[in-house]
Amino acid sequence: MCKFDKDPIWRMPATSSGPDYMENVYPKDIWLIDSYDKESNTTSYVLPIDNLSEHYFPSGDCSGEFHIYYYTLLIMSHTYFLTEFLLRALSAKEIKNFIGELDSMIEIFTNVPFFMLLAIFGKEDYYFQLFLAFDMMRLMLYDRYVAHIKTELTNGITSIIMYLFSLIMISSIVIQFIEN
Amino acid sequence: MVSFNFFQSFYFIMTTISVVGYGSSIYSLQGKLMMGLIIIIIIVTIPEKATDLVTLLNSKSKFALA
Repeated sequence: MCKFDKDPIWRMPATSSGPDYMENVYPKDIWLIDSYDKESNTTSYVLPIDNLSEHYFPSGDCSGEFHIYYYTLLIMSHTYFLTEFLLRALSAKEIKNFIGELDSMIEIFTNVPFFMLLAIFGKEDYYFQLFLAFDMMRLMLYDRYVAHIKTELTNGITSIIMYLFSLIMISSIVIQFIEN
Repeated sequence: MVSFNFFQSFYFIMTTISVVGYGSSIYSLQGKLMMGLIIIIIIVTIPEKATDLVTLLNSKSKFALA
């Protein structure tokens, strides 16, 4: 399941019992923990909490064997995207108008903070991982590819379908990350 | 911890976009805030896109759809 991340930020350690169970299991620096404690003390649902981490994330699944490749590829791809964006910005007729476009905003938002957050907080930081979830915003750049469809009606329908797909995917991944 | 994997999240977003709901919910405050933002985006943009589609369909003769 998590072959790209050896120790994902949302994964609980596989501790099932012990006197300091609460201290071992819950990462204290994650702010979602308050809501978890609040929910777990109600009777609204019952979960096998003691075996939860082992049940969902067995050690065999979380081997992280592609861990290094994943972050290397991330850095390479973001370097490429940033370089491409800078070249396009420099070759634009009016840089101010070019940067003001939605596509350019998405490029800046998904590329520039990536290097800053990686350098400042490191790859296992919660906010860096949350930022990676927002990388899906690059799906909103579909206009570049749809623009090559010359038929007006096909272009319009494809554009709307791509927009819906982007919105659903971005929302799903961000909500999934926040909830975990 | 409540497990909320990708497919559950995907299903939740789909039911939200389609205004069906099914009574499913998210649990954290941050998730609720983010969901509020997503709903605002959906309310603003989906009707706009639907209008675009209808305008596009009406702009063509039924004999010239291609």
